[in-house]
Amino acid sequence: MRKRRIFAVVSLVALAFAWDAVACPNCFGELEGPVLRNYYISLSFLSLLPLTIIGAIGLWARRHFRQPTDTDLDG
Amino acid sequence: METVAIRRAAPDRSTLGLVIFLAAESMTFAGLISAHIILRPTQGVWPPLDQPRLPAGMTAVATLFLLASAWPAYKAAKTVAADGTAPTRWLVGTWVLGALFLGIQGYEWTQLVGHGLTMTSSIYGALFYTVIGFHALHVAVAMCALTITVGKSMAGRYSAADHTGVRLCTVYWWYVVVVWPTLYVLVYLM
Repeated sequence: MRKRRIFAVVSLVALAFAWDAVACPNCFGELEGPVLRNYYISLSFLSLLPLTIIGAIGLWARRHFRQPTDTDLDG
Repeated sequence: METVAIRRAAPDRSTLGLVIFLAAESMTFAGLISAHIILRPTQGVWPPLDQPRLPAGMTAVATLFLLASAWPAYKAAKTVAADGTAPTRWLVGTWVLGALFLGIQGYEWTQLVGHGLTMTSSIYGALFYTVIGFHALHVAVAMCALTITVGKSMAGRYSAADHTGVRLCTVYWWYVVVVWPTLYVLVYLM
């Protein structure tokens, strides 16, 4: 319980001092023009690709388990 | 009329491992592609005026060799799955085409280094050697896997019922082939 309180206090203090991070000239906040456009393209690409990969693996697994093994037997 | 549903067994561990590995590899390639997309407009003129141009024509020939290698890889997997015939010659065909691809790339790299394009000469050079080199490393690893698979095939270790090694090796090869055109267009043509 004590650890949780300490964690909560530290988190609140950290949040109180949070501000935009501008770490280098390539940072998002400093960009404009074609660099910013390419940032958006890159962000979209890197955000969607994992979902596509997980979806593809899911489809592959679905196909694998559903392939024609259902056998109709005349009772 | 009664329907009996028979569930298929789970995919073997090696197949699942390869699928997870290729997913991770895809994200690594995606990271490199993103780095290329983001860094490129920061340089103004691309390629930089003081850097050599990449030999797109020569690499196009290498690309044809790599794309052609997908066919013997496909035939290798199909042949052994159909009747257990040793797929040695198809695997060797794939290996030879891969070696031609790597050979052309090696020659191209020596020429480019001679003209002053190195990892440290510019962002252009660093991106080129990182992106293309990472793919070349994959081709080299795939060729090592092919060499082992050829050895096992010659020893008669594969049958129609048990040919996981050939299947996984060819899937990995196809992956290497499929990734390449994107990199070629991005790095050499755009």
